[in-house]
Amino acid sequence: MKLLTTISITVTVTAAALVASVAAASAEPVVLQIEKGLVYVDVGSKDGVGADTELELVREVVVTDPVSRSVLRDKFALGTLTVVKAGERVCQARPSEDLAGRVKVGDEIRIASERRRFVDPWAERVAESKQVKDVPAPTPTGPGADRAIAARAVEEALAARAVWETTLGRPPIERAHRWREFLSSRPTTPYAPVIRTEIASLEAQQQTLDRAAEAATAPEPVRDRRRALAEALAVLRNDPTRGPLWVGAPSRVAHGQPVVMTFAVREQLAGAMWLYVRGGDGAFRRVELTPDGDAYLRATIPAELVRGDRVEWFVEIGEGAGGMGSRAEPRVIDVDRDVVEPPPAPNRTTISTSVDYVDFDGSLAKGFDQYYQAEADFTYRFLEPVHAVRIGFGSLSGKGGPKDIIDEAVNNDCRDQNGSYHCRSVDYTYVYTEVELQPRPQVAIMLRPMAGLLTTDRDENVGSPGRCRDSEQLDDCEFETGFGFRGRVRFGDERGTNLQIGLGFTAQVGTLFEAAYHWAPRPVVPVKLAVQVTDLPVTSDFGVRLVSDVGWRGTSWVYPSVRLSYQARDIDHAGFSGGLGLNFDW
Amino acid sequence: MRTTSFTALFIATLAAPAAAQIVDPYDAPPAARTAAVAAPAGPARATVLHVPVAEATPGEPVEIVAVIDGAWAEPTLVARYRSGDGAWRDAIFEQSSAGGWFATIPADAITPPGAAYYIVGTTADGEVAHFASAAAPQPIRIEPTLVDRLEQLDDARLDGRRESVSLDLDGHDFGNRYGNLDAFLRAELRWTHRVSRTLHSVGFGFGSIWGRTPDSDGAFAEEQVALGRYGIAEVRVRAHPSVFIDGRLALGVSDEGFLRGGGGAITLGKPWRSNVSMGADMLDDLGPTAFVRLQWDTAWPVLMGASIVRTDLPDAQVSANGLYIKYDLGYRVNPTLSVRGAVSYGSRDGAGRFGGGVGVQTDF
Repeated sequence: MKLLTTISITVTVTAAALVASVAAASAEPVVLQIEKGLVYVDVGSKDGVGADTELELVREVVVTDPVSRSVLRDKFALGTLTVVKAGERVCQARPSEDLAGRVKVGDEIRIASERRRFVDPWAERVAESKQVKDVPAPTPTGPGADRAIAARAVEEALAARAVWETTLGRPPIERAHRWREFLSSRPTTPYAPVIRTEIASLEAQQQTLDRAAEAATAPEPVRDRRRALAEALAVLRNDPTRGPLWVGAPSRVAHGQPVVMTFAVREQLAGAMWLYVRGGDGAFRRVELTPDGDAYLRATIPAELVRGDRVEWFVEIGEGAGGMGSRAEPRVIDVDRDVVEPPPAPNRTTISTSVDYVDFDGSLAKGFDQYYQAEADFTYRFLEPVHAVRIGFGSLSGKGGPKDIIDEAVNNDCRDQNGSYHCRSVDYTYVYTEVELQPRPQVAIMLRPMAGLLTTDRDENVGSPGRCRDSEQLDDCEFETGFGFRGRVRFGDERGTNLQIGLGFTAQVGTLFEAAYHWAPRPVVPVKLAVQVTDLPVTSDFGVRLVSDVGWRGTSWVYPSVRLSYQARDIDHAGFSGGLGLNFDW
Repeated sequence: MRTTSFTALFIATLAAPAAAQIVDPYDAPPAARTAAVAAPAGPARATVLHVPVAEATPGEPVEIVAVIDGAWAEPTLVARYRSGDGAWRDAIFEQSSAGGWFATIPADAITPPGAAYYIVGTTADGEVAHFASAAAPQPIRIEPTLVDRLEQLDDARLDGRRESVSLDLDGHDFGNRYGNLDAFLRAELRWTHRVSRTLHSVGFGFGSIWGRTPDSDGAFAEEQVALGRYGIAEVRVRAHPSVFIDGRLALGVSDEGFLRGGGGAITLGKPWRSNVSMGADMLDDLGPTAFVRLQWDTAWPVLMGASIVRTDLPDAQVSANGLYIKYDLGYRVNPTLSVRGAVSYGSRDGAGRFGGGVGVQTDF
């Protein structure tokens, strides 16, 4: 990159020289080239121009007199340029702010400052060393002339040496002063030219030292000084990055801890500087950057913004003039996940036990269309990443068959006109796990696979559905593994008012559609109203159940409930029944 | 590489007087005061520029690399550092042959939870602040890894106790429709050492199973005795802060000869908090067991759990439908002693029966 820059400057100066040679034809200096805000002009030290010399940019105005039709020309100074550095024939100048963008190649330039004299110390010294030989010293004549000449030369040398020894260890300005006194007292000394060169060099050295001291104590650092330091540090660090800042920030931080951000400023910057940090809502918050020390800015990202898996930030300088990172491409600090264990959260656990007796034909124990179902359900709400998990154990035991056969059997024995028996008893003992997902705050999806032992009894003489389960007499008993599934969707607040719609089925046991409405007319009275469509306990005719379940939450952690239901497979095949529940909340 | 020839040349250029040049750096006009950061006004002073150090690796020294302008104005320049809240110590900036300046914070100061530093120079008039301060030093974060932090939490939870010995006794009576005994009793004594890293724990123990079960399905089946004695080796891996994977190997003898076994489980959530776990194990002659368990901590300090267990223990012949649900309670009596109890209900062939279990664990 530096090579490219060097080549670029070389080409620029060469081009400038070519333009200068062309411009030499004109008497006034002109703008030769504009490079990175600096203007090259064909005047230099030979013209009395050096650093800090002021130049004027001149623009010629040509107008036609509307009356006489004569062409009038005049020149106006548009602004000033300050020479930054100068060579012998070309100088480099910085235009004033009001000239920004208005300087063009070929513009005429006028020297506004007083012309100065610049001397190449080396060329001067060479020239004067030649003059030493030509010093017109008085030449003794007559007898002993050679001896007198030799004695004078020795005396001049000793005198010069004596003064030189007094200058040792003295500041340049004092050394120059002593040499001046020497020249005053010995104007014809053969060393005068050399001493004058030495005086000029010493005075230049003193000026440089004075400027250095002034710069060191100046309230403002010199612009190029900061950048030069930064470039040296970049090389030292083998750091090819560019930009106005270096950042000292951790790459990874713990969740919920403030982060100190420190920036080293690589160059003088104009305008306000802000650190922007993305908040939990996605918007960037502005954090103040405080100047610190020699060249630093510091800020602290507050703990509440150190969330999630990353902190995104950028620094803006001035009015969108860049800085470090950007709104579109922010810098990132990784945030370790929070591993601190919160205390146990209340109201995450529910244990529900229930027993429900369902009588479809109103004949209770003498009927052929009844079942009972008992369940113990354990729920824990993790909230994330799954809302809740349930496991449970249940038992469904009942008797069922075609409702027309049951209703029309003459002897109420579930036989048709041919005397064939059509009912059967089932006993299904099952377990399940259920996962509840909450894709949206008011929507939950519950998925429950079930498995268990299914016992079917087709013996027409046995009244108890549990005969096959308990008895040694296994005639007409069938045993198999029964699989089922239940899915539900809940709309609304889990602990408030909500509507659940569900579908469940178990092979050879039946299907259940349910729509249930939960609400609490009073805080201590949770109520559930449900309508079910089902062919339980055996796959046969569908019927409808209307269920109401009312609880009493007298204490915060346990409440009983009572269930009443009316169910019918048709208007003549109906019955009332009910159930009990006991629920625990922690 | 600390320096380059360019650096040496540049710094030499900065330091050299410019008497023989037409333009020297001091000729540049002072900048307009628009910057937010400016060198403090006052007497001659050094300017220290470095890239602030914000993080470090534990046990490795931190080298502060700087360029210093006007170092002659301050005879001493130091990075003043401390480890944690310890005393401040000085690391003196030294100049390399090529012009850069370096101060090294030694490795013994770079320890968790972190270090801090600031940069000052010393003149005859006192100290000159160059970067940060004792009141607001630059923190050098030594962020513990995720595994480190989890280990710290484990140690805090158990007060540094990393060993535990536990004894568990569980059994279930499945019953039988013909009145035959179908039950098992399983005891395991286990020593566990917690590593608390990704390898969370290792354990070793002994187990014993006793059981009686009908040798066939029928009224005239005879009871058979099933016995097993085995040693167990266990490993628990923390694959994620909230996911634990257990592996288990068992070798021993049964009433039929050499007994091999193995098993595994996955726990979603922390085993000492609310979680769901699923697992299975297999013993050659005695049959497989699988379970799903839900544990909750909402009745703290009591841990509760509900499990569904499907098992063929103890070498069931009558049916493969042995299934029971178990409800258990665990209670930490004191920091070193925990007890648990369980009750179960389920069946294999016939009506359901009860079972249960007890356990005790000591941590030290």
